[in-house]
Order: sequence, then C-alpha cells, then structure tokens
Amino acid sequence: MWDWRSQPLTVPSVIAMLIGAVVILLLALGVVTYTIYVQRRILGWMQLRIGPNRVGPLGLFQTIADVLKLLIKEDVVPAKADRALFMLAPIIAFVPSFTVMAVIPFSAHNVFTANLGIGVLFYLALSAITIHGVMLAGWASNNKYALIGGMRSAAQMLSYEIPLGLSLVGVVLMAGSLNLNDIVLAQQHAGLWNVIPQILGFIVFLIASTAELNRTPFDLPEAESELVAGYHVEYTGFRFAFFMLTEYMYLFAMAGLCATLFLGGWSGPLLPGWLWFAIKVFLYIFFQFWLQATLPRFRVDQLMTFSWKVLLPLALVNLVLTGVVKAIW
Amino acid sequence: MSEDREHRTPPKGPEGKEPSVTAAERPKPVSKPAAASGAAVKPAPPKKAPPPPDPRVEAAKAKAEEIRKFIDQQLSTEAVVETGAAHIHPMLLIRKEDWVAVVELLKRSDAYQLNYLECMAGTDYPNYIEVVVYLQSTELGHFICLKTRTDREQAEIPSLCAVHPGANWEEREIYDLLGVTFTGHPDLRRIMLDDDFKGHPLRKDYSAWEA
Amino acid sequence: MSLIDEKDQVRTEEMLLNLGPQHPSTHGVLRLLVKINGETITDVEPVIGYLHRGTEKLAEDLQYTQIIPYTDRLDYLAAMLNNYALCHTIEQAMDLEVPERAEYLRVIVMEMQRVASHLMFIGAYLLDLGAMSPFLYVFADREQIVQLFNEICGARLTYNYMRVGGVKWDAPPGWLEKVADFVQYLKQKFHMYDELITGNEIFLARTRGIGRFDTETALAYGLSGINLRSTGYPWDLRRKKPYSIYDRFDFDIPVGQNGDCFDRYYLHLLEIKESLRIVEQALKSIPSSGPVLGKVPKMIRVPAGEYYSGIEGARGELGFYIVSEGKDKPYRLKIRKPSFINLQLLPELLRGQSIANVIAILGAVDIVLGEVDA
Repeated sequence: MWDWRSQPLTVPSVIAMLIGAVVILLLALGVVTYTIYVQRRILGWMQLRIGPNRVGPLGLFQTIADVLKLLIKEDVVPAKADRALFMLAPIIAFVPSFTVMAVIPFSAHNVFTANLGIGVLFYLALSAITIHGVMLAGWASNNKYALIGGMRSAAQMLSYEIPLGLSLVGVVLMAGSLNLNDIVLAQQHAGLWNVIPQILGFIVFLIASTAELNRTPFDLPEAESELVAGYHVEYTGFRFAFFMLTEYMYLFAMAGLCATLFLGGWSGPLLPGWLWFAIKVFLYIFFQFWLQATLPRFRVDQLMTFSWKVLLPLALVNLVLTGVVKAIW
Repeated sequence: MSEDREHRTPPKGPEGKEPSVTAAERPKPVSKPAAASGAAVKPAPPKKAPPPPDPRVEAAKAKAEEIRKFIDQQLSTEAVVETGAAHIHPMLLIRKEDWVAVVELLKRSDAYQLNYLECMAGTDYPNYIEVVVYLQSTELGHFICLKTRTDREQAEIPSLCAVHPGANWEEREIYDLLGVTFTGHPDLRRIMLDDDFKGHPLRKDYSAWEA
Repeated sequence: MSLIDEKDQVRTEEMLLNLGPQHPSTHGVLRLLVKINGETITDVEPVIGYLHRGTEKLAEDLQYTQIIPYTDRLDYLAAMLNNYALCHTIEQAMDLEVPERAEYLRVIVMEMQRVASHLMFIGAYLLDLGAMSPFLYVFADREQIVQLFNEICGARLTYNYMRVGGVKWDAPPGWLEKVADFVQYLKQKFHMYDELITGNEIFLARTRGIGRFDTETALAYGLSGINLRSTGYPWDLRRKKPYSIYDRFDFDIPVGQNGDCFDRYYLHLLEIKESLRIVEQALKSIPSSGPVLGKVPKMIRVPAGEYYSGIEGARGELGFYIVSEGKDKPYRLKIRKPSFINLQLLPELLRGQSIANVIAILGAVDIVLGEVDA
C-alpha cells in the first residue's frame, strides 16, 4: 500500500504530490464532464426524448462545448453585490469539493490517495465548508431569490449532515477504523459488503446524501420553479461554472464515498479494482439521475421534519443496533 | 312606464328622449336598451314587420315583472326602473342608488337566491354607461340580467364587492377600460393597463392618437 | 447593534418578493408581489395585464367571423373551446340551426381539446412541483391530439376551426378512426398517469390539504370549472345548462371532497376520462356524412339586442356577452374569462401560507395568462 505520509518531504516527493493532485483534478474534471453528458442522455431516455447528440459523435463533446461557452461568457458582477464575497464564494464552495477527493481510494493501489487515518471525518468536515460558499453566494448576490436559496441550502445541508454522519458511524464501528482504505480492506476481509449488515445505515446514507447533494427530491435550494435558480441566480460564466463543477464534483465524491463505505470500494472478483470502483460509482450516480427523473420536490418544512423526525432516529437506531451486535459478537 | 321616467337619474339634455325610443321598441323580442342605443347612435336599418313573439322572451319578460314586484315589495317601488328581456333572460334596469341593495336582496332572498355572479360587463352608450350583471342561482336555477346606468361624464356606480367579492376585479376592469368609478370598492386601481395610462379605451370616443 | 432585542426575540422584517413577470412557474407573465415574513406570506398582490391585447376593443371593429381567430389567442391551450363559445353565443342570438355532423365534430374536437388542456395542466403542475418527466410525457400525448387537430384544420395551436353555424372543414377521410385509436391509446396511458402521480407520497404531501376553500367562498368569488367542482359542488354547464348536443351523452361530473390542490389535480385526471367517454360515444353516433356548415347568411348580422351565453371551458365558465345593434360588427363584446375570475381568489388562498406553497397553489388554480389578460 502506498502511503504519502511515510515518504520524506523532499523536492521530488512534493513534485510527485503536485502531479498527483493535477492528475486527480483532470480525472475528476473528466468524470464531471461525462457525468453531465450521461445525465442528459439518461434523462432524455427516461423522458421520451433524445438528449444531446449534435456536438461530436453521439453528442460526446456537448459538455465540453458548454464549458467553453461558459468560459468565454461575460463575467457579470451585479452592481449592488458585495463584490469581494461574491467573487470569493465560488472558490470557497469549490476547493473543498476537490479536496475531499484526496481521501477516496480509487483503486487497490491508490497511489493518489492520502491514506488519512481520519478519512471519514475529513470528508464530512471539508464538505461542510462548501455550505459557507453557498451561503456567501446567496448573501453576496444581493438578490432575494439567491438569499432564500442560500439560506435554504445551508439549513438543509446542516440538517442532513447529522443523519449522514451518524449513518457513517455504523460502518466505522464495523471496520473499527476511520480510514477509508481500512474500511475497504475490512469489507474485503469479511467477504461481505457493508450494504448488507448496514442496510439501515445504507438507506439513511442514500437519502441524506441525496439531500446533501441538493438533488431531487431535495433540490429546494435551486428549485427552478420557485426560486428561479437559488443561490447562483446572479452568477454567470466562469463563476457559475464553478458552482456547477462543485455540484458534480460532490456527486462524484459522494458516489465514491458510497462505493467505498457500503459497496466494498475497489474490491470485487475478476475485474480490476478501478473498474469495480467505476461501476459502483456509476450505479450511485445513475440512481441519482433516476430519482431526478421520477420524483417531485419536497417542501422546505417537510424536508426539515423528515430529517429530524425520521432520518435521525433511524440513524440512531442503526448505530445502537450495530454497537450491540458488535459487542455481542 | 311613465313612473319610470320620473325616477330616472336627473335627465341630461339628450338623454331625455331615450325612454320613449325604448317604448317604441317594446314589441320586439329583443332587449330594449341595446336596441335603444342602436337607434341613438345611428338610425338602425329599417325593420320589417316584427316576427311572432318568441315564447322564451315572453316568459322572460313575465319573470322580470314578477321579480320587479318582489323588489317593489321588499325594497321600494322606485328601485326598478324598467323590466324586459335580455334575449331570453329576464332583465331589470335598476336605479343606481338601489343597485347594491337590489343585488343583495336577490342574493339573500329565499325565493331567488341569486348567489353566483356569472358575468359583469360595462358598455358605453352614447348618453350613458351601462353596467350589466348576469346573476345565477346555483340552487334554484334562476338566471337573470340586472343592469344599471350612470352618467358618462361623472360615471359612478356603487360597488358590488361587499355582496359578491368576485366582482372585485371585474369592477376594476370596468374602471380601467370604461372609466366608471365604483364607490366603496376596496382597491380601485387600473388592472389591465399601466397606472399612468390616459383615457379609457372601451369608451366609444376614445382615440389612441389623442390620448 | 444586536439582532436580539430585550425580550430575546429575533427582530424580523417583512420582505417584498417580486415573483414574475418573468418567472418559470407563473405560466406566462403573471406578476405576484409577495410580502413574506420569514417563510410565511403576509400578503399577495397579483399584477396582471402584461399580455393585454385589448381583444374586446379590437372585436368592436371586426366582423363576427373575423373575431373567431382572436378567440384562439385567449386561452391558447383550449382554443377550440374558445372558438365554440363565441360561435355558440352568436348562434343563440341568431337562432341558427347547426347540422348534426357539425355538432358531433364540434363535440369531438372540444372534448379532445379539453383532454389536451388537462394533460397540459397535469404536466405543468408536476413541473411546478419539481417533477420534470411528467411534463414531457404529457407533451408526447398532447402532441398526438395536436397532430389530429392539424389534420382537421391545418393548425396546431390557434385552430380557427369553428364557424357560426358549423365548422369550417369536414373531417378528412380516416380521421375519425384515428381519433378512436387515440382514445383507446390514452385510456391505457391514463392508468400510468394515475399510478405514477396520484400515488406519489411526496406529491400527496405537497398537495393534500393545501390551498383549501369551501363551496361558499368559491361561489362568492364566482369561481367555476374545476376550481368550483373541487369543493364538491357539481356545477358543470354541460349538465346544468346543456348546450350543443351534450344532453345526448352519458358522462359523469367528478367532484372533489376537500377543495384542496390535490382534488383539483385529480379532477383534471378524472375529467380526461369523462371527456374520452364522450368522444367515444360521439364517434359511435356521428352521422357518416352531411353538411358541416348550416344555412348561414353570407354576412352575419346579429339582431339588435344583448346576448350572453357561457359554456364549460377547460378552466371554467367561458362566456361571451355581445351587444349588437344589428350590424355585422358587435357594438360591445365582453368575455367572461374563467382564468381571470378564478385568479381573484389567489391572495385569499396564499395569505398565511408558507412561501413554498405559492407555486403549488398557484399552479392548481390553473390559469392561462392569455385569457387572464385578454
């Protein structure tokens, strides 16, 4: 197992780390680009239409064209906006979304993974920072829709952080470690993916992560039909692209987390580890798109009630059950 | 009908001749005021001998008379200026001072229960502006037409909002497009046009160029 | 400066939120000035007129037949019904006979139009509530109706199909069979809609008990159509004041129980079923041939007088009030616009609600701005 921390901090190792980060960034960007493409194709298929098929073969370059368009668009900062915060917000939102990739083990040889002992906590802590970016964006835009969207987003992400965190604790108890690599190894060792013994936790995780990602049916912060676009309504061009990037980056990261924690990560028979990981990630992402094509949106108060009165008790029950079973075994 | 003439709104110059035209038109199975206006705007094309009266129209007229008697009894004999038929529906012309009282009476009365305001329209005639409401009793099935008139220059009619809340926007629309002020209306502002729009387009003398 | 005053209560301020006229969920150019306190609405003021084209004024300078295309542009989701409402009023005024085949064709296209309009409502309403797919599903089905209309009158949205005394075109060969096929097809689809939407917990949670009003309020505000029927009051002009040949058909008037948004949604679905029943019956008994335009004078002159008649439109009672001097143009034409009147209740419905309910309630009132603003 490769471990960055055991390497001495020399010039070549720093350069290697930098290269590693760039490679991961490029990988993540590639995944995001084609996640968006796949999303549009899947939604198109589910909604009796075709989806993008014009730019490049099968429309494969559609997202690239969209990104290019966003990059060359005028960068508008509203006159009454809080300029400094307005420009800072997308960065605050994006940086953690990329940083969390550091702890996700992509494959058995995970060269590019920081083998952190507190991997799960690291993920939760960093992803919470994005909320600040979203809230700041809503506030700095000086737009009522953006403000409401930002506030809703903050309230929602905070409320769902708790069941999400608790649902992970069950897995952590099973493996006896917060290190994501160890969790994968524990599953491999047990010969059983956590999704089966932790089914309750998995359900809570699935729901809470959907809410964390602001995806249907929890897409209130950017409810098109109510808030126009939520917190990023005033953003254009590159800054808007950053918010979109953040969103899909988290989708990828959350899928990675789900695969690692509940579906055995890169472990699996026959196929190479990275392919198993990719398949599991894709399953999670597909599930999200499927939800998006199927469900209407929750109402904001129902959303909160659901988190505190349903998910949180469920997560606690799961935690207690896991603890009891673990103690008896 | 001579009584009615006395109780009309204070006669203005050209308006005085109006009831007599109405009287002349009486046998026709069409409503009088509209026919009257036709006569007043431009001479209507010469009519042939009137066709045999339509039984539906006769029934409507009889019913209008009956409602008039009811209103006379309950309210005052001066409230109803005229009765007749609007096509095949009973029609009563109400003095504008009694407008709200009559509509309310007909809504509350057990005999008619005209609880549903189906249509409200204003029309600009050469000498007056007329506001028409079609009232429906959803329980008893009565369907009648009530109308009232106001002077064109100082168009003012009491608002029906208190009786039929649904008249709110209709009255605003009539105010907007015809310039009738509905006294007692809770929120009388223009509804279709800009607040700073000049003139009232549905008036016949409105010209987009002069405004 | 502290946000907390002595009584330890957070000081709050009312916020004025401007919804529209460019807003994805106002179905056109409706503008709502919403005063909110936190997430609770304290007052709503609808601002309309952005689409005002002065149809009533324009009609005064048009011959009766020329007005028909203008009615297409009122409630552009149910143009056939608008066409009919005007022709019906004129026919009533002139005591015109309409040939049998024309009456049947009218009923078929009107009920198909009602289906199309209701489908559109269901799709748009679900879109308002955040579900994207139903919108595209109903469009696929509505498209078939639009294609059928295209075949019979050469237009997809603004049909201009009815004429005083009948219809403009007879059905092309094979058209009636296509309609029959479509009815069968939609009947099967109907269950899919019912299962996919009506049983969805999130949808139920967002619409059950939301935006309630009772029959008394509905009648006082002059509401009509599904808005009135959702309160449990079976007021359908096709039954209450039968026009055309509706007295020959066997169909039910579905009514709601609670007068909430869910009832209004569900009645749309049920009415689609009833409309399909009517179309089926009409297809069975339509005369196989015959004129489609009655004996109508070249120049239509409505006898002097005033006329009002209303029909059951897709959104409520659609009526035309005509004052005529006996000329070829109306002296005054007033439209009883169901959307316009139904919209009046909106401020009452929204006061005290959460801002998140605005779209659910507004969507269920089912307005078309082309009609509201006329």
